[in-house]
Amino acid sequence: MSTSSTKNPTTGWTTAAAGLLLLMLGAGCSQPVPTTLQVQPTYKGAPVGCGDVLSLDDKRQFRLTDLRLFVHDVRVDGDKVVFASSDVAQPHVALLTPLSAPCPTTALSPQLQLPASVVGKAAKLQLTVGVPFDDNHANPAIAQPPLKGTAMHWSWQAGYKFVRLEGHILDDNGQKTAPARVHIGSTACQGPMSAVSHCDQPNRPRVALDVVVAKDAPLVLQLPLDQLVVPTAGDPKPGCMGGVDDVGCPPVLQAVGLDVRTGQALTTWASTQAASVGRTP
Amino acid sequence: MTDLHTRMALMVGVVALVATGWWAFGPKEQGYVFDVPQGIPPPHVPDDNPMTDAKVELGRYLFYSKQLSINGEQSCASCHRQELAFTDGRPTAVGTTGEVHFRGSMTLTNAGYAQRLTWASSLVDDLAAQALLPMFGETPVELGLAGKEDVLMQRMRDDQALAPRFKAAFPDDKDPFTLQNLTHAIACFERTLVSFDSPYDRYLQGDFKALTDEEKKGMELFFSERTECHHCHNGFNFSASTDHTGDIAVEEAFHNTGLYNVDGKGAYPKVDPGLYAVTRKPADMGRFRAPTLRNVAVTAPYMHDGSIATLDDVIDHYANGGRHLQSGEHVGDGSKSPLKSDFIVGFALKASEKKALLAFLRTLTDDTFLNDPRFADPYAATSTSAAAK
Repeated sequence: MSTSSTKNPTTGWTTAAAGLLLLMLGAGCSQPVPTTLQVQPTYKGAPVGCGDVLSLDDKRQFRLTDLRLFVHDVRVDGDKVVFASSDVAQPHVALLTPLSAPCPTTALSPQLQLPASVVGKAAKLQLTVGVPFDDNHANPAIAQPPLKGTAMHWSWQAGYKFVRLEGHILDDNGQKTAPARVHIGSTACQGPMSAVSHCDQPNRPRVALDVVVAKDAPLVLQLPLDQLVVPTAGDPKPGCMGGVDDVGCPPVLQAVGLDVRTGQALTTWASTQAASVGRTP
Repeated sequence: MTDLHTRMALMVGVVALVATGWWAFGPKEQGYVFDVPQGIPPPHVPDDNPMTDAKVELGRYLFYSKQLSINGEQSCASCHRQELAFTDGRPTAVGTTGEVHFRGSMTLTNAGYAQRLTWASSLVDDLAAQALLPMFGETPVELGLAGKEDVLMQRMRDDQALAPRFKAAFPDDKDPFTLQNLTHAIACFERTLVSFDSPYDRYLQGDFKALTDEEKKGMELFFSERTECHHCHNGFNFSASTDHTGDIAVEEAFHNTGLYNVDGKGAYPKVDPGLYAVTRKPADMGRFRAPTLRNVAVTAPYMHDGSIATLDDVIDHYANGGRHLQSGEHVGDGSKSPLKSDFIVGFALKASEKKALLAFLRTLTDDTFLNDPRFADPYAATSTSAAAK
């Protein structure tokens, strides 16, 4: 009997260990790459920030005082990615707050755990604005960040505001004439809040954009506010507060790609804009 | 046996069942004894918020604390005054920043028994969750605390009256100063606001002289098929939207009473279309919850928007089968609303009958409840004793 065919236990273990090492190294190559997700609001194509005054027409302006939004179901080239847990994110949902003082938020950005394989490459970024249904009707008094804040809770709808955009309409002298508020969230929710079965109008806008994922650079999501800050003619309370007959809601919901009647996303919020997302390496 | 006697007999039967059944596993096991007469089931208590004396006390102090408004101007009690059965006497409420609400402050009489809370929401079914609306709501602003929960909880930690009571109410919590605990305590206090000591209650318990003959005549009218009052305002709480210990049925009692008909198709004013605003189901246009009628004589003005000034006028509204507004911005004949409840059929009453019906409604006033020191402002008591010293 030839001994050459006899398996040497020592050699076998060495081979296995080497294989395991290779596997670990390989796994290391695909370790998630933390990448910050930021929002840059824009108006007429230009970046805007806290307190900026946006010219609506010859006589009216809009002063931006608050902008926050939840996002979830983030996908890169169709593959789901998660956030690193923090004060502004759980793995499956994050709060984006682009504005800082004197606005009532601090600009904090969640970190996405992107696969290393997409770094340096063009990719398709998709995400949904809002809170997932399973979390949307939870009790904010016991929720974990970022769902515990009451500013984003929409108590009368037993859910969350997915988008909160606020400011003031100014006259041509720069004087405040009226507050303007946009609150987008699920409406027509059925059942007691302890057991909501469904919402007839989910109202979760979608975003889908081509990006180039760079290492050590944030993904910057440019969101156009153009159609959200212009008061609708005949609206006694500028903006959209989710009222069933709020004349300001249809243009706002359409601007973010939602069907006004069904609350389904017909198109994407940002895709109508030329603005790009992400940074090149 | 008259119709009334039949009803009374049925009621006695129900009382007996309650007394022998529900009462046996009633409130004592939950650490707090509800002050309800024998035969009346205690309110339903959620599993996640059992009643304790310490939580009730904290809740009372919170209810009357102006620390619960952003500018320190208002407390819950600002819109819910005990002497008015925890309403405020205004047509519609005014928040701490001066913003005028589009609805009136609801009575908190027997709030713990309500299947659904607020005037018209199929969503809000828990007192603790309801507390979030006045504190953090923004349409309109009531107490103005949206986004200020950290400020609020720091106030709780710093308040000499509240801080020790938080610790006493939640002794096992490493940090008792949480929003959950705050809302739970308020809910526990509100659940104690039970009212079952009116002349009507004493009559039911065998004091047949507690009601006059006129009031008894009014009671008969109230429970008659002629007026239909009792269909929506029924049971021991005079509200079909009632929940209690041992109750397994869920009845969402919302009704369009023909108060408005601004378009000939039953529409209510846009400022408040009732349940429709929440469900967006067209059939829910103008539907509101039937509140308890206990203490109704002290909760004027009436309806969700305070648009009917007196009980006398309320009876006229129902006698007409709806309200016909012939001037103003909401012109329309509510009696012809296609969305009106089937129970709003209209009726004719002689003057003496109307007087009797009004007299009966006044027998639902519970002076013990309106003056019960357990429900009163604890800070006022402290101020009084300090002044006395």
